Parts: sequence; C-alpha cells; structure tokens
Amino acid sequence: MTPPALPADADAIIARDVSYHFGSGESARQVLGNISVHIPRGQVIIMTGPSGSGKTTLLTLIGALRSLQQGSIGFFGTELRGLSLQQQVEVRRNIGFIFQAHNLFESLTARQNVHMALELHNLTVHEKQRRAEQLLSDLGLAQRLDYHPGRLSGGQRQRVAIARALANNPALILADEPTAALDKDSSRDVINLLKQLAGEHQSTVLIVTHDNRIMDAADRIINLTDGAISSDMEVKRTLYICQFIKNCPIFQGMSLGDLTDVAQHMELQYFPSGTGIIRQGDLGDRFHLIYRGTVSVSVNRNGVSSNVAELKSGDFFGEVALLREEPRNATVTAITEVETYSLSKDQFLAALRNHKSFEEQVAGTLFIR
Amino acid sequence: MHLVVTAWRMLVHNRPRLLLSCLSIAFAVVIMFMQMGFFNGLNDSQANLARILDADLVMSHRDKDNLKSTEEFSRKRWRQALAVPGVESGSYLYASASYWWNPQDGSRNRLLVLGIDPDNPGLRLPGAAVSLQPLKQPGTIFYDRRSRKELGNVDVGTEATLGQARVRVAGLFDLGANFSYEGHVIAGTETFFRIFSQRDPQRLADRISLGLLRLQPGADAGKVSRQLLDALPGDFTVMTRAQLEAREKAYTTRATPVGIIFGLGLVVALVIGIIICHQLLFNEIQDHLRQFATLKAIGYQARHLYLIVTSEALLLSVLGFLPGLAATFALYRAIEQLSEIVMHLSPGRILFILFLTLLMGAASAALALKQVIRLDPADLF
Repeated sequence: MTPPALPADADAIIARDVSYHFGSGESARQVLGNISVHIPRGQVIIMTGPSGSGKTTLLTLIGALRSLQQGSIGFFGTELRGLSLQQQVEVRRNIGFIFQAHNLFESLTARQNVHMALELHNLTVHEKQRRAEQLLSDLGLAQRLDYHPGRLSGGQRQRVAIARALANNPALILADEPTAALDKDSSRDVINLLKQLAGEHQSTVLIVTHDNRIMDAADRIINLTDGAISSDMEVKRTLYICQFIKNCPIFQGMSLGDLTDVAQHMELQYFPSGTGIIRQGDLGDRFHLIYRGTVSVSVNRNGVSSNVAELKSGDFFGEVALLREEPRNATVTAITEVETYSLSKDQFLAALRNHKSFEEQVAGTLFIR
Repeated sequence: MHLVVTAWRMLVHNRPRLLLSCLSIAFAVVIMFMQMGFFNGLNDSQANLARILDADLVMSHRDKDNLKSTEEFSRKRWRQALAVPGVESGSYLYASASYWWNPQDGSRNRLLVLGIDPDNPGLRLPGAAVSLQPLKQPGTIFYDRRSRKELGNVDVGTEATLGQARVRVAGLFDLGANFSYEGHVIAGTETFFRIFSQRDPQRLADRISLGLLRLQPGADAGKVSRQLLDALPGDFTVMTRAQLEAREKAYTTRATPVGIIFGLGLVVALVIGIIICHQLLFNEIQDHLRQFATLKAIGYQARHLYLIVTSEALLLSVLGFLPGLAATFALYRAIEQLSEIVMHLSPGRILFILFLTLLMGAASAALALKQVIRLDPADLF
C-alpha cells in the first residue's frame, strides 16, 4: 500500500555536506552549511534550534519540497539531488506531513480530510473507508468521524491532521511545530499518539519544534545553530548519563546544558567479565560511568591486595587520577560483563575548565575524597 | 471524480457565501440574456412579416432590400410568373405606409397597411387559422393587436380613420411592432385602394409589394427561381421564404449598428461575468492556500488542484445560471409588456447563454491557473 516500495535495507536519511543558500550573488545568504546527518529507520528525532537556524530549511530539503543546491541526501536509498519536480512529487508520496496549523479543509469532515491523502493511492472505496476509520479510531476520534474541523477542538483537529499524514503508511513523517497551537495535555496526547502509531507502522519521525514539553518523546535530539549541527544526542543515553554524573561531586553545580555536553562526549565501552579496566599505578586516561554490570575496586598496599569496594551501574570511577595528574590509586576489574560510558582525559578536563568554579570544585572534590 | 466532489463540498460548505456567489453569477447571466434578448428582439421584430407569408418563392422589386421598404413592382410580372413551369399558384401583396388616427385621442401614427385578396390572401396568420373573408366587405380591416399602445385602444368593431378612409376593425391578429412602424393592419384590396385613394388608381392597382408563388409538389425552388429570372425582364428579384426570412433577420444587423451595439454588450457582459467569477475563485483559492499547498506537499499535482478550481468555477456557473434564467423569464415578460418588442427564449438561445456562462467559468478558472501553479508547499513551513 505504500507507493513505490522503498528498499528495505537502506537507512531513512543520509545527508552529506548539505549547504543551502537563499538568494543569489551578492545577496546570497547561507542558511545551511555542510550539514551531515545519518538517520536510521524507526527513530523519532526532534530537531530544534533558534529561529533562523535553518532547521525548517533542512526539513523541506529532506521532504523533497525544495531542490538541493549542494551536498546530497539519500532518502531511503533514493538520491534527492537533481530530482525533477515530478520525481520530487513521487518521493513526497512516501512522506506524511504535519504542520503547525492543521491545514484541514473546513468544508470536509474528518473522514473526508483523511480521504484526501488516500485518493492518490490505488485503493478501493471500501479500503479507503476502512483505513480512514481505523486511523481516526486509533487516534481516539471514532465518535468524530463525520465532524467538520470547525466542531473539533484544537487537539482533535491536530489528530485528524496526523491521521491524514499517516494515511498512506508513510516511511517518513515530517512534522513542523505540531504542538505549537496546543495546550500541554493535548501536546502530550498528540505526540504520544504520533510516536505510538509511527512505532506500529515503523515510520521514521522527524519533528521540528521549540516545544520543551515534548523533548522527552524523542529518541534523539538534533540542535541546529546558524545552519550547522551544534549537538546531536541520543536522549535516553544522555538522560541516563546526566542523571548519574550530576551526583558526582566534580560535576555538581553544573548547568544541565554543560552536563549534556559532557554526556555527549562519553563513549560506550564494553568489558568482558574478568577484564581489568584500570590498573593501579597506570597513568589515568579515562573517566568511567558504569552503565551495566558490576566491578570490584582493589588497592594494593605493600604487596597485599585488598578489595575495598564493589561498584554497580550508576557508579563512577577514575576521576581522581585525571584531576591530580597522578597514576591510578586502585585497580578496577569487571566482575560481570560490564559496559561503561567513559570520557577521555582531554574531554574531562575541557569540560571542567569550561565550568566556572573549576578551582573550587577540584578543591572540594579532593577534600571529600 | 473525488476532486469534483471535493469542489462541490467546498462550495456548499459556506452557504451565505455560495448564495452571494450565485447571485453575482446570476447577475452576469441576466445581463447576457438581456443583450441577446434585445438583439434577437430587434431582428425578430424586423423579420416578423416574412414569417407570415404563405409562399415557397417571393418576388419583389430588384432594389427592395427589406420588407419594410416601399419599392414596388408591376403585378404583370407576377401574373407572368404564374405561367413558369413548376409554379402552381400565387398571391400578391400590396403594402404601403399610412397614417392612423388614434380613435381615443386623435393622435397620428405611421403603420404599414397590407393589401390582400381575401379569396387568395397568401398570408398565414399566427395563432388560429383566421379566415380573412370578412375583409371582402369594403371599409373593414384586421388590426395587429400587438401594435404599439399609442395607436389607441382597438378591438373588433372599433372605427378609426386610416389614410383617406374611415375603417372598422373586423378582426385581430398577432404580428408585433418594429422600429419602422408602430403597427400593422391588413385590408382587402378594395379597402386598400380606398385608404390610398389620393394616389393614381391605375398605378396603385398595378404596383404590388410582393408576389407570392407556391410551387408544384416536387419542384426545385432554385431551378424555378432561375427560370423565372431567365424568362422575365430583370426588374424583380426572387428568393425562397427561408432566404427571405434570413435576410430580414440580418437586415437590422446589416443596416444599423444594433448588431455591434448588442454584440459588444454581450462581450462586455461576458467579461463582467469573467471578472466576477474570477474574483470569487480568487477568494476561494486565497482562503484555501494552506490546504492546497498541503495537498501539493503530499503528492497532489498542479493539475489535480486545477481540476478542483475548474470544477468549482463550472459548478458555480451552473448554480448561478439557474436563478439567472429564472430572472430572465420574468424580465423578458416585463419587457414585452412595456415595449412590445418580442423577447423570445428558444431552447437554442438558452443553451447559447449556458455555453457562454460555462465559457465564463472556464475562462476565470484559466486566469486562476497561475495562482495554483505558483503555490509552493515549502512556504507552509
């Protein structure tokens, strides 16, 4: 039922070195510069950034609503660069668009509005009826099938618009400020339903928004500033890391933004059971946060090794050597299979340097230890 | 098909607006009907005389270019024509303008007097098969009851002065006034001579306005015409009744600027209609810019949207045409009452205006084409 079948193995979006200008010659203004981003299938991505950051332009480029000027975008394996207008139209039939305004026809009922999106596809009247009813019911509008938009609430209208966007089982859903006109509860409803349905249909979702209330719905948040990606983070991981490192005395008092920066630079490392993660006497090079598993900390004093602690997920280690520029003062060994988020020494120190009360923090930390 | 249905739903959603739109279109439709009505009314009025002639071929003076002019030719020529092979029988018709004194207020108007032989009238009067036998009685006339009101209140039995004679109305018929004469009367030859008794009687009796010939069954009108022209001196011309009627209708258009005036009026009405309709469409598109752009975003093409807009235009045209037609019926009646100009609505003429109305819708949609093509879904963001 999805129009021309998309290759099953291709990633949703692979953008490489995408730049875009408005105007030409002297008055040309660059809105995007060398954007590269890779979006696997099934992710729910929120793209955010100040107005004028180019996020909407990027959205319209990915949505085949504008022609690429520089760089390339692979759309489920199809290169968008150099497509004719006709080919762009065909690409767009794989996309569900949701806009800030619902853009529904006031003269058509909820059901008829959803139909408009189904008409382009070869379905029998019966199939169209069933699909429209099914979608609207899934979105909680079973009792409102034959209502005109004028008789629906803002949240209900936006849900009809979502039903319309989902009607043709799109591989990609592009949403522009879908909750801007909605109150808090409607926003949550709308975004959760969108997420849920996108999950059921294995659609990839890209939402451009300023709305902080819905940030946690995303798998990944991409931040654009002045036409460049200023951050790109996976939400669960970042939340997890922030939640624990904010308890770490070194990072205490850091703003959430700085914590997020730190979290972004942490890498996932895997250690089989029994591996030594840190050996006493080595030069310290990484700071670790345990994501999964258990480690033992042992200290060797005068040839006698004694276990001093066991650390579990959410605990961290390895910061002292980095701060003091000293060798490791203990050995850390994986007891089970262990995964840690670790930060290199350079990143660690850089993060701390950016932190205002660095000196105090160092002193404080050393005092506590 | 669903796009046409969508167009319909868009139209009927806003009822007050639809009503207003229909009335605007109806306004343009009525103007078009009026222009066409006046134009046809003039032509039809001018051609009314040709329609009542009972003849296959009509002889007239060579220079006579319409039936309301007064050129005459010799009755001898007509009698000679009766001998030409193919001609079965014939009648002749005198016609001359005279003055009629209004029996009520004594005012004077010009009308056309037709002189006939009551036994062989050569006229087919519209309506019932009226017998013209009463005209055998000298001093009686048949009066065209659709003559202008200025001629007075005339009925059977009314007496009035016509030319040199005192006449009594013995019957009525329907013909209609036109721009040359305020009315018509029919008189028997005897009465006709009395009305024009100031003229030379011999000459009066000889000079006829039309020679009416009926052909034998199966005779070819064209061939007989040629034979007539070949056999007889060339001071007359001959044409079939259909040719005559066509010439009469065209005469007003040819001889006066009314064709240009009302033709131009029709074009102006059409243009007004296009402007009105385009304005309606423009607003309709303007109000649905975001919806149309959304459709474009999800894979509709300009031609799909164009189909919606064109459907709206044509549906609106038809919806406006109907009240326009209804209003036209009423207005035509009123105009006929007031001016005695024939305002006749034939199915062909209704279809012609319907065609112009649809053309108007299509043209206004074509003007909106650019607006639809220019719609850029990227602007939605």
